[in-house]
Amino acid sequence: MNSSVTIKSIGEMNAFARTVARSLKGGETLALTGELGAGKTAFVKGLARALGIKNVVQSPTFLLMKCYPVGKNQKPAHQSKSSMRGKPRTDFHALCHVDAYRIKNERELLTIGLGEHLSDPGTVTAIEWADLVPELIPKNAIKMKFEHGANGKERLVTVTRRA
Amino acid sequence: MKILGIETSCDETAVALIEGKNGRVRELESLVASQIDIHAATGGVVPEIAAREHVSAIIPLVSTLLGQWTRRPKIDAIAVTAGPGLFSSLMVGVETAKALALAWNVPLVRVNHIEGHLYSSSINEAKTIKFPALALIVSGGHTELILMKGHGAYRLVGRTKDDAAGEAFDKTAQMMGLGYPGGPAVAKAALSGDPRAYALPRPMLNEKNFDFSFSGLKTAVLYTIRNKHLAVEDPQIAADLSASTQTAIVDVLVEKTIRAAKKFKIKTFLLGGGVAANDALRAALAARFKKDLPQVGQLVPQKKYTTDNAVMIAAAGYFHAAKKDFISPLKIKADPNWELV
Repeated sequence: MNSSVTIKSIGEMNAFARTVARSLKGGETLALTGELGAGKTAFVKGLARALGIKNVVQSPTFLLMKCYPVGKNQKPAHQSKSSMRGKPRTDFHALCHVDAYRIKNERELLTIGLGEHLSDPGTVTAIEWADLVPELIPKNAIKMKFEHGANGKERLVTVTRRA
Repeated sequence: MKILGIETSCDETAVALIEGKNGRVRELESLVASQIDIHAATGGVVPEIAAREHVSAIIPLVSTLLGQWTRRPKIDAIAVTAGPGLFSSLMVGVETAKALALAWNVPLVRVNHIEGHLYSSSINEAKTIKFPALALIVSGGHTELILMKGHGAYRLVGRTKDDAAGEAFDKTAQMMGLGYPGGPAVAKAALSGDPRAYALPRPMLNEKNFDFSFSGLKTAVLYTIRNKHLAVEDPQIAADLSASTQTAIVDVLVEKTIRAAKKFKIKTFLLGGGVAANDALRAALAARFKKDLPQVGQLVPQKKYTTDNAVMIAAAGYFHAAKKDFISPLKIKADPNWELV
């Protein structure tokens, strides 16, 4: 199942991330691909916000992996009565943000504990540069390809889910 | 007070001995087993290799360090980096420090890596830190403005919203084919470049907070290369683009620092982190402080203390030890996500 969206602003990226967040139950892997500046980190920032994570989500390139708790204690950002209807499901307890940009060998990510997160039904794992670590990506991963669009602002995202 | 420092959070295995007295610290000895050659071959830090290298290097380093004196110096405390960093690497340092603390019956201090960078400029420095103080920490993984009301009293006043400044250097260096680590490569290329050759954004400069953002700058460099069909293999083009990129990064860092320094009426400014070695940044900060805030004392680290080292960890450890802020060797744990503030 393939779908494509054109995103014209950071606001639209956040809206797109909210839609994705609502579809997550926990246990999913998001395999993000796309070159530098294509919007991968921007998407994960939006996703974290939609899940009510208050931490500032910074690029994990240097530390390779950062995990954030998702839970009842965490109020969704900009919580208001009117936005409660669209509140994403937060059945899971953690969002792990992984960056394979500097990785040359899949095993390197396993040594810092990625395997445990990938197999945890309560964790959603978003992996940037997923194409660099193909063997680590579960078969049922949601694939998201980010591309630069027509001008400096536009991004194309193609989402592939296994039917 | 003599402090043994141990640092293994990322690239370097490092141990050092310092003497701390009356709020001043002096390096007695420092040893670093650098892995940077290994990482240059792989284009970055590889955690498994890093941890393995730490394991084989740490004990020989400690014994070489202490073997430099005919009588082993009396150590008053051991300071170790417990985070943030790569878990497998941090663990090597923490476990070593723990074992030594128990074996020698010496108190143990848990140091945050960023705290080390924060104190790196106080090493071998006659000036002491006067409060309130403001620290700009800039490295591959961090870009933060931290306000200090006293030793150990930190408040985060600004940070990057996305990429660290060092990451911006690394990633743009990669786009230009300049190699790893990117900071020194871009700085070197920039020496013969024109900083006004390419118009690049100054992200967040017009916002009233003290936060940074370098992700957009990275993308702007990419689009500049693509839209202008820049032949980055041409050394002059790479030099011009490097100079333009570096100036954009430095402009934002300096402007936000000066604004925060004015707002919090600071008495001392501290610079730290890998990007603190950048000459353009050092010169720009010095010039702006001299012009706008000449009364503020500036502490800038010697270049050898800008890369990861154990002297700075021992230095931070000294200020904890002076307040008897110790941790039980049975309780200390490596914490890869430890945020100082």
